[in-house]
Amino acid sequence: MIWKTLPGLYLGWGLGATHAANVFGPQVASETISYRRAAFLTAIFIFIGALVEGSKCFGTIGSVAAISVALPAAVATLAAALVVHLMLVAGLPVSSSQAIVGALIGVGISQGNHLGANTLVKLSVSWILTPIGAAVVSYLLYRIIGKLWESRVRNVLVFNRAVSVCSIAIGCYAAYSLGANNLANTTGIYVSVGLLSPFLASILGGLSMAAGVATCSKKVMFTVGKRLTSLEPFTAMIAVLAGAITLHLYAQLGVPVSSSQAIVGAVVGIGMVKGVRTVNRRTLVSIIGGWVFTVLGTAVLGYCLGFLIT
Amino acid sequence: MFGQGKLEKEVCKLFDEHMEYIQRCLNGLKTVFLLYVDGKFEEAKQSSFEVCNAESEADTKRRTIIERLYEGAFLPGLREDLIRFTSMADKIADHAESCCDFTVAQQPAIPEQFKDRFVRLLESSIGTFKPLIEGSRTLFTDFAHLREKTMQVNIEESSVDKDEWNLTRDIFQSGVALAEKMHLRELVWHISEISDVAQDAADWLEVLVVKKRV
Repeated sequence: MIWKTLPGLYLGWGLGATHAANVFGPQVASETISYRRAAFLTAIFIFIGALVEGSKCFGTIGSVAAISVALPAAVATLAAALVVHLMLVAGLPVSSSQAIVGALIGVGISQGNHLGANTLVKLSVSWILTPIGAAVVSYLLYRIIGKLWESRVRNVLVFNRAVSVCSIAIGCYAAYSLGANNLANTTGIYVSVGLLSPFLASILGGLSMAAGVATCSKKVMFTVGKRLTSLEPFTAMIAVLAGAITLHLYAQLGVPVSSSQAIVGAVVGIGMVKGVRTVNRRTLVSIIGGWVFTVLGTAVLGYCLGFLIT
Repeated sequence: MFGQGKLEKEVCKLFDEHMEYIQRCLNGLKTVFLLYVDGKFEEAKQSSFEVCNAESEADTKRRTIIERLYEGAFLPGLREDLIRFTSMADKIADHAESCCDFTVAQQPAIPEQFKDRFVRLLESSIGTFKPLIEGSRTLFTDFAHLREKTMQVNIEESSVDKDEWNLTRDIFQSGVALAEKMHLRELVWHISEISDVAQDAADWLEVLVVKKRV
């Protein structure tokens, strides 16, 4: 039983290592918090999020391709983990949610399973709406919190303390949302095939993501963080918060989505408030490319691996 | 809503003290210059030591501010901004000292008809520091009043520029020897440089605050 869950843990590890940057990247890159402390907080809160609310997305992952046997489930997770890892090595943007869904589709087809049309439509719509929703959330947050910030933060002493406290609190919440939303990508399929109980799946998935954060998140955190630190501290905080709220809302709907795409959407929303273009065409193309190529790539690999085990 | 750290409070106090020493430098320069135009060269020389001492003290405060900041006061982004402002403000003291040295050491011959204008130029150049010091205090109290203070620095600096231009023109149209004209032009430059540096510091202060706004 244990070896079949290893691909899920591998995917969880990769997810934690790469996605921690969307949570504490700007704070670490701007030295508001040390990398060690950020990694510790992210690992703790990602695990809590996974444990408390992570199971909400299990149903969606389980109904993508009606996989009911442990081996194809493990193969699909392995295909997703490999593509995530390869795209990371190649420096391409990747979504673990789209990777696992693509892999499940590929393996499902290779096994002759019926695909869950309703679930796929729900997922596709959600993925398109993720950056749009994050943009709306960040637009509203920027307007509302911005007014409060302007009226309360009136000198550098208050500014200093407000940024220190708020950015750490927001980072912890973002880690919680990430754990809650993305847990199902790692071990969700094992629950639907009956290999793991929801509780054990939450523990194992949460721990693997926390391990990824603790061991290998440093480089990505600084790289992604520096991209976001070109924003002012308040803007970066709102972008992370809007991304976290979006992920948390989707977790309530049981839909795993991409935290990176949520953040990009949030930055666009802030740009709308300020009347400036904050995201260039290349970034938008990379998001759309990420949707298409991650799903296609994992589906093809999943199909090939699924065909081999058949 | 949010409390203040001990180190941050200390930096705030050091910041005030640094500005106080710069003010002392400028006051000392004015004393030296008034004594000089009155022909009291020896007394002017004695007073110039006070300017040197105040400048040294300002330098020490600046270094202490940098030390405290790198001990962990304020966030790194804010730290760099504060260091830059402190260094810019410190240049005012440097220029005051060099103006003082120039006057006492080179003793430029100021014709009687220009003495009052030189004194007025010095007073208005030094005067740009008052709104700057008030503006810098708003960093730790309330940003809202900063804009009016920096505007005041800019207005006063423009007036110094105008006086500088007129005085230079009149010097060169007067009958004094060319070497003296050149020497006086250098004195004019030393005096007006104080307001230029004050304006640069005020501009940076404004940038610093704009960066903190939503």
